[in-house]
Amino acid sequence: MSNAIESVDLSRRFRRLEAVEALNLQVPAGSVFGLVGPNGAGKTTTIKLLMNLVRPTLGSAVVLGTDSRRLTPRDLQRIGYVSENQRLPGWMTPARLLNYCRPFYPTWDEALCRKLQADLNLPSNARLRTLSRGTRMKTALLASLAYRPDLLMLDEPFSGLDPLVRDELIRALLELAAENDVRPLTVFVSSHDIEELERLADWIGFIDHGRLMFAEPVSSLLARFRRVDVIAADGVALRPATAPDWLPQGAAGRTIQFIDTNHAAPDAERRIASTWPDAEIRVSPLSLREIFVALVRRAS
Amino acid sequence: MKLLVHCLAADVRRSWLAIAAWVLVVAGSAVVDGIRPFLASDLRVLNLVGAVGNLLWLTELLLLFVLTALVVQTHPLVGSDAFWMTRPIPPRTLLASKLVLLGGVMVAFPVLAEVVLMAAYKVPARQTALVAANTALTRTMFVILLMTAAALTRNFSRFAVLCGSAFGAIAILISIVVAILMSRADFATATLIVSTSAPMPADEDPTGAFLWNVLAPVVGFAVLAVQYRTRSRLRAVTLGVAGLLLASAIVSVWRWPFLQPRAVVPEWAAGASALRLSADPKSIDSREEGMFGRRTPWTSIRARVHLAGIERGWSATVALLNASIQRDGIVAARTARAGFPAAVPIDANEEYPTRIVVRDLLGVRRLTESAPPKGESPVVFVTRGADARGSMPATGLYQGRFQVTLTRHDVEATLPLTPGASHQNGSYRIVLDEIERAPGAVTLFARESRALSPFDRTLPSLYGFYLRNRVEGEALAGNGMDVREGPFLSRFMPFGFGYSVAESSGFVARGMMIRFPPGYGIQGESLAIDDRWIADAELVIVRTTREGSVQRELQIPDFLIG
Repeated sequence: MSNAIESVDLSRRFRRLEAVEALNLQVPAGSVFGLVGPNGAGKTTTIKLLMNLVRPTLGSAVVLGTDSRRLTPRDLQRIGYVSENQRLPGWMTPARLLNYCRPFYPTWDEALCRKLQADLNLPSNARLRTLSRGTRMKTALLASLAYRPDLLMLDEPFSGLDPLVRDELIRALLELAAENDVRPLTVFVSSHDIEELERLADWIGFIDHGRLMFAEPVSSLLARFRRVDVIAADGVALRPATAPDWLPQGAAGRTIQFIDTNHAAPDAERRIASTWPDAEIRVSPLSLREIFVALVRRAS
Repeated sequence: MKLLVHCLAADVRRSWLAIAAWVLVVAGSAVVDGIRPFLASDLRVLNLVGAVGNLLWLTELLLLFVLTALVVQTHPLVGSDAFWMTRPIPPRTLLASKLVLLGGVMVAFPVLAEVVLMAAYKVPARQTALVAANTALTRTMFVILLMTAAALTRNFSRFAVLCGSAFGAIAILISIVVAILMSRADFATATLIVSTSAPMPADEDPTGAFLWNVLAPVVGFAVLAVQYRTRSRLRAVTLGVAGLLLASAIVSVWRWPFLQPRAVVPEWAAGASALRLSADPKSIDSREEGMFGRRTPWTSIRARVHLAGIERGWSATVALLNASIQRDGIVAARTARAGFPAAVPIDANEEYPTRIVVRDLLGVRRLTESAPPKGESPVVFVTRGADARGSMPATGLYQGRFQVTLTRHDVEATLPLTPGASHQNGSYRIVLDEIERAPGAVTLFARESRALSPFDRTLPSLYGFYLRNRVEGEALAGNGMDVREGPFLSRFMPFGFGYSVAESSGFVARGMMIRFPPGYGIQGESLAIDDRWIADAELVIVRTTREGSVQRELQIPDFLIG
């Protein structure tokens, strides 16, 4: 199996709102796939569709080889799910939650569970409803990692967490992903936290208004996007950046700035140079965050 | 199985406080119901225990809703954010664990409490089993229906709103039906309140109610199964509505009344010479029927009908089935409606029939009781509107067909007026606890218990209490009152929750106060009783049971319409 997740025209409509529209997605097995997008873009709905928490109005998805609408308890034994919106059983303590989950998973790794429990510094005797949001998320993550799932779905797992907790979560995830040689762990994560995603993800998908704008490896994405500053010689007027691949960022004095969204193309530099032959061209790489902000601006 | 136990244990841990409260309340209710009949003579203590009983009953009712919702909604089936939904918990196992927990706590435990209570009251094993089966069935129905409501709602507040709306809808529906009935001024409705004053135990066929008790949980279970499997309320509700419509259709077309009580027509009553009807043409009288203070279009014509050929120990009611009036061999008019039962006089004796029968049974010359002095006159013909009457012949040959329903009267027991005197026959049991003698009056405090179930298919009986003095050849009917403290709230509920609630089925243990003379309602001459009369008196319990019915013809030549 090359893809852990595949969707074809996956759509979900809530009355008049097209929350997810014709989503065609491939998530390679063993990858860490980050789904980014502005608020209300359809990230959570996409994950809920993949987890069969809501049913699609059109299209379909295959998760670990099974139609998402027919996920059985046997399939769920291979999938972990952590969401900021999930209602955990607040009357349970973390220890009781783990005891409750354990019998449902034949692959439960008690040693891993204890190690993670110690690493994440989880209290065992306080009820979940009395714990902080970060501790609850850590508990949920632990309850989803201890059975070494093949696929981990994370819906905004870092939202509202302090940096220390984020680090702990990401470290735990990365360690587990690195450990699994035989059964590669696929992580599908949606987040606003681009910096954290940059550390974690090797694939990125961008969703906006329910539509997947692109999905590609992070390395390819970082290579594709460049900030370009064009500085005109004295007395020379600059032509505006009009190519469809260029996202204008503004102009100041003798300088115009744009983002080239296709800088990996072989003729990218030649096209820029031929547009402004007499100008000084400065090209600099972008962080994922800058790419995300630029894309959101263009979308809005 | 391992997962089932695991899920069950988790639910018990989650709801242990509510479960413990429920167990205490049910056990407490059983204890209160068990001891309440002993307290009939001490009103102060009875009031205290009764208040506790009412409080326990209300708590039980509240916990029934709370515990069901708590157990089911520990794993919510509505929405998409519940933790368990993304966990590999087999829906079948989850549903089974909920059913086992709620079935054990909310059905089996109360039934067990009722069985213990019945054992304490010496109810025979067979009757205990039948009553327990009926209680279990009824409770299962309510628990499944509440589980269904909880499974279709996201949280307790929505569950409460749904249940409240359902009760409200039922109340509105009943109001609409009553309003429609009132507006139609139906003859049957008009005469509903003009029932016979003869003691007539109920003889309804419980098959339909039983079918509902079976089909409703089946539909509820199907809804639960779909909701647990698909978590699609649309599918579950659609199935539920379709299931209820199907159940309703099945009940309405059901033709096998397998639970109908076996009514016996004795051999002597089967012959044509028995139970003959006759009427005096001069006794015909017409009356415009009214309802709730309003006139109705119905006019009933009554006649002084007599019944002959009835055996000793039996009485009967007579109800018009159909009738016609012929003139010159041609039918000139037919009755617009059937009539309602009336206790007609026996032979030439104008007295109220049960008074004669009971007097005979008791072997006394004089009997004082609350029955009317004279037998009733049945409706023999019904017309609708003045126009119909105007088109009828002034006289003609009346031919009517009547349903004659027999009632058997037996002496159930004769007890001395001493504390501790007791009698048991099957599940019926009475124990005299205390006898208060006052000048010219006696008050008995007794414990009476019965266990009735629709499954035993026996006709329920009424029990009447008489004080008899054989020396004087006189008897006095008593007024047996159920001694309860204040209003008993559970009686106003649309369904019975176990013991001491339903009078027609289930186990009933109650304290009774039987007063001689009753203090009110005495018809005809009254007896003057003194201490010497009381000293020679004994308590006689008369059992009245409705039996089978036959049809008889009545002809009245020269039937004159008033």
